[in-house]
Amino acid sequence: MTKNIFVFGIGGTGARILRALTMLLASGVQLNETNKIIPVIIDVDAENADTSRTLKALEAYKIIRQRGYGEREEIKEGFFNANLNTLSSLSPETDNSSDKVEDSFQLHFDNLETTFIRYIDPHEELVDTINMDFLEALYDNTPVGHEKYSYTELNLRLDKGFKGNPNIGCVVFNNFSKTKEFQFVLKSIGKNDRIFIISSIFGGTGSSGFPQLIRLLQEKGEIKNNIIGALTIMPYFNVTDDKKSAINSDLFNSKTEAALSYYADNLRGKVNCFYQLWDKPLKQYDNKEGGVEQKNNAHLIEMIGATGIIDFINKSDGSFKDKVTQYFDFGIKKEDAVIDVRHFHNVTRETILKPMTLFTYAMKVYLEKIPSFNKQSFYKELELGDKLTKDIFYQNLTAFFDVHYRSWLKEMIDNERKFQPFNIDLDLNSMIREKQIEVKKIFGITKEGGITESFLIEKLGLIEDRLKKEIPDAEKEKRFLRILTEISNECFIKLEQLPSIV
Amino acid sequence: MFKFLYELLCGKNVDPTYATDVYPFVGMFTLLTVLLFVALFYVALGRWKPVWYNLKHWFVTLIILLVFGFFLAFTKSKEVTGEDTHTSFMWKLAFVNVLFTFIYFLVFSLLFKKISIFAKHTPF
Amino acid sequence: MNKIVSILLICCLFACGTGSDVPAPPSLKLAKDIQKINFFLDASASMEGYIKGATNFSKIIPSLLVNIENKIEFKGKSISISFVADSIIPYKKSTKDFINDLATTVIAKDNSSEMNKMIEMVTDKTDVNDISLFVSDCIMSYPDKDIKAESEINKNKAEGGLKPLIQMAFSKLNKKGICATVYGFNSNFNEKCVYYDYQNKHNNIPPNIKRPFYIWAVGNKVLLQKFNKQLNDLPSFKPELSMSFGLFEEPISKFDILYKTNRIGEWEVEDNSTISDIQVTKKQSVKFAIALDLSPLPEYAKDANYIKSKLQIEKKECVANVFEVKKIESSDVSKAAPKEKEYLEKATHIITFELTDLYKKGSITASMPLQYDLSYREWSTMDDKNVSSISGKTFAFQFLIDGVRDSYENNNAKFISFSVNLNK
Repeated sequence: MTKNIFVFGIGGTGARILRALTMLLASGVQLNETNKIIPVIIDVDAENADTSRTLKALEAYKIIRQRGYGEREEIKEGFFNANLNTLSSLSPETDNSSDKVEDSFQLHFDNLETTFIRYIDPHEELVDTINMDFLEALYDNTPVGHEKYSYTELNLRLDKGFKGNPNIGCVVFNNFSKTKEFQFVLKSIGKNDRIFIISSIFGGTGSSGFPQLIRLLQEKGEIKNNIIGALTIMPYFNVTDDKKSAINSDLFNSKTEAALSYYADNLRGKVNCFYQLWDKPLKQYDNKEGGVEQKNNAHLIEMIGATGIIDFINKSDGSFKDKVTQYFDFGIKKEDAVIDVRHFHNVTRETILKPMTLFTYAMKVYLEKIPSFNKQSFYKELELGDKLTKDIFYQNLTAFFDVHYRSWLKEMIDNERKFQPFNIDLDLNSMIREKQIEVKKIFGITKEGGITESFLIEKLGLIEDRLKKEIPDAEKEKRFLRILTEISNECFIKLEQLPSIV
Repeated sequence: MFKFLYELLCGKNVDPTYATDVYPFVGMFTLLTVLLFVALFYVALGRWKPVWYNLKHWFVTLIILLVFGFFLAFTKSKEVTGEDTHTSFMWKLAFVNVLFTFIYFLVFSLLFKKISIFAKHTPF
Repeated sequence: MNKIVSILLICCLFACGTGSDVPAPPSLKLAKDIQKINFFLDASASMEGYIKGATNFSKIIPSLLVNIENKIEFKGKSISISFVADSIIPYKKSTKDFINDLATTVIAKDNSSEMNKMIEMVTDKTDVNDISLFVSDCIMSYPDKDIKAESEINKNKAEGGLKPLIQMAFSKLNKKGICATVYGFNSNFNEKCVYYDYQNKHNNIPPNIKRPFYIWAVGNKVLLQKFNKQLNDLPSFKPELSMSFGLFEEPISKFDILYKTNRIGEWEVEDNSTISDIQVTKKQSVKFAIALDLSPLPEYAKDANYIKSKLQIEKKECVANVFEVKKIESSDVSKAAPKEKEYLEKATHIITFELTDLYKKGSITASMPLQYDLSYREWSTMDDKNVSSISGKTFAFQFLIDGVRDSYENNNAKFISFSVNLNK
């Protein structure tokens, strides 16, 4: 049964995992029986750099897909085949035009440009009342006049995230349900649609938002029976000690324990599939409280988290048990200083790593080789001379490959635990870590050169000529995407197969 | 037909064997050789592998054909008329044939390049 | 597809390869070289005076035989010699012996001989690829008994009776595809030997009186022409009379246009009988030359001046004339183009025409009528009773030759006939 998927990414972790998901879908990972997949970023930290990075990637994806495939056709394979789209692209069940939402992947909270206390009590009605004392008791035990007074939770600026304080988050999330956007979401979810929520256990925004969101969704009768999946990420990094910061990674573990027991009690039966991920924290991030500076490098865990979403989406309708929560976690073959393709089991290799390999081949060919082929006839046929720099489709494609995907891969290489499936700075024959495409020579003459420029030129020429008959000149972008898909397949043929541990 | 073309540019020669033997042979052989080379360049090679397809290769092919066109006319005219040395008329004929070779090559190139894969944009 | 094409190609090759010439019917199988040379000597009594003694005849004939055997190419390599009078008597010894015997023994025995019968016997013995030589004094005569019955019969019936006999005899030759050439020589006559006049009365010939004798050469057209040329090339062979019969049945019509030699003005050779793009004005005339092979013609007809005077031009839509006639051997053809040299090697004469006006399309038709050299008549007399008046003459020789002419007569009366088309 064809369905839509709503993926809510809460907080910074949600944004980063959605970023990984975007990359995987761009590389052509297939979603079975799925119409649209609607990512919704919920983050109160409006300026969060992770979120804005993810939003830009999603925007680029959307434009590429729109220009490349158009809106009408059912595309089920190839790069960017998944119909990743915004909320507003769904046709709402209500006709009321005042219900239209902004064409964005992010949901905004209102009135957050203030402190917590002002949020609760905008008109300062509570001052000097008993409720105020109570609030202070709950949220603040710093004496008035203490030098740290302004840093208490009550004085927390809400538009910079909840800074690891889920208790504040809960309050705010409650009001969230009244927003126009959220109402729109509830109306858009259909009978067969599935919902997935991503959050981190240790964070502020994610840990508070997740159970709240579940509760809000369950309140709406029609959605009560929809299949819901969730992913929580447990601590996988530390932040450096900074007494000026409200974030304290020492408290991460205790917060995790508290949250897990809460989930176990309150969410049982309400979430059909619960994915949980953890890795030993190996790295210390800079202690940034949010805003544009909270830009954590991509981590392997996030990619694995994204595979969880895909696993959830591709489960058949009959594999869910009513009111029973199934728990899932993820393992690799062996621990290592550097994780690459060989460390994954077969299903992940086939469904995730192979598409990524193809996409990486496509990236290198597109960014490094195709511009230098400007004298070839396929280049001229596709009018790439002008278009590569001036056409919106190609500009977005370049941005996606270069700014988004390449950076994403590099960040994971630089991170701890290192994930380096590809040597993206080496040549195409050496691109796959631990599997070199051999160059065979006889008496000094190259017999089999692997992926060489002349190999690429030949294949690109042949592919373009063949596809020209199938895909007319009016749809050159679609043809180009197909060409990329096919050339990456040709490169993969030279590779023969992904490396594995002997 | 070839007689007309050659006499147009070279002028008439009293020796009638030019018109009966030299012009038809040289004209037809030149035309067919150029056609063959163009077919090889654009269709046989141009659709198989990108080994001989770009502008530089095109020029080299052209030069080869021009040299061929020159020598074909030069030697055939001496052979048929039986003269002992090459006359100035033979030189003129050889250069005229170079010109025709060039024209044939250009025209056939423009016609055949559409069929090619790798040479579709050669020479432009 | 490829298989079919290659099969077709192989079939084509076979078809081309087997296109051989249709073999000629056996009777007309003409050889390239002379297979045999026969020599027949008239052995009638009247010949004795030539043979015996230091006569011119006795120098010319042996010399001829020796030269033939040494210089002329023929497959038999020795001449088969025979005597002919009433019948053919083959001479079985060698040519050298024959020459000896000529000098020493008596050859001529029989009395009168009938020319036509001797010709017929020679005809029978001559195969299509042979050359036969017949040496005789060619005096036509009725048999003795007819002369006894009527003494003037030779004179009266020379034209009406003897000539037709000759004509019939030579017609047989003609039918066999054999042509004839006659060479006339003069010789002194042995004064001790007898000369029979037309009444069959014998006389002696004084030493100052020359008696003609004739050598007939017969053979098929091609071989005879070859043989004649070789004969004429012999420095010792100098006949005072020479006439050919049947060697040129068709007028010579083939020619090659020379595009460079003797060329004046603008014109182009369009094909082998047409000249086009002629630019001729009243002020500027055009000259063009053609090469012809006139070797079949008798010697007098090959003379350049003779041709120039006798060649008739029929002009259509143009004004033209014969500018020059020259033999190739007396022309300077070193500057000719290589292709032209090929033509000139096969030809004997160059005729250059001058064209002074042309309307649009015209032609020049050149022809030279076939005229026999009538000088043979000077070798004839109808009265040989007075021996002192018959020097260099043979009785009724005129009618003999007329008879031969008649047998080879054809309606065509031209030596040369060709047309050149002219286009502006």
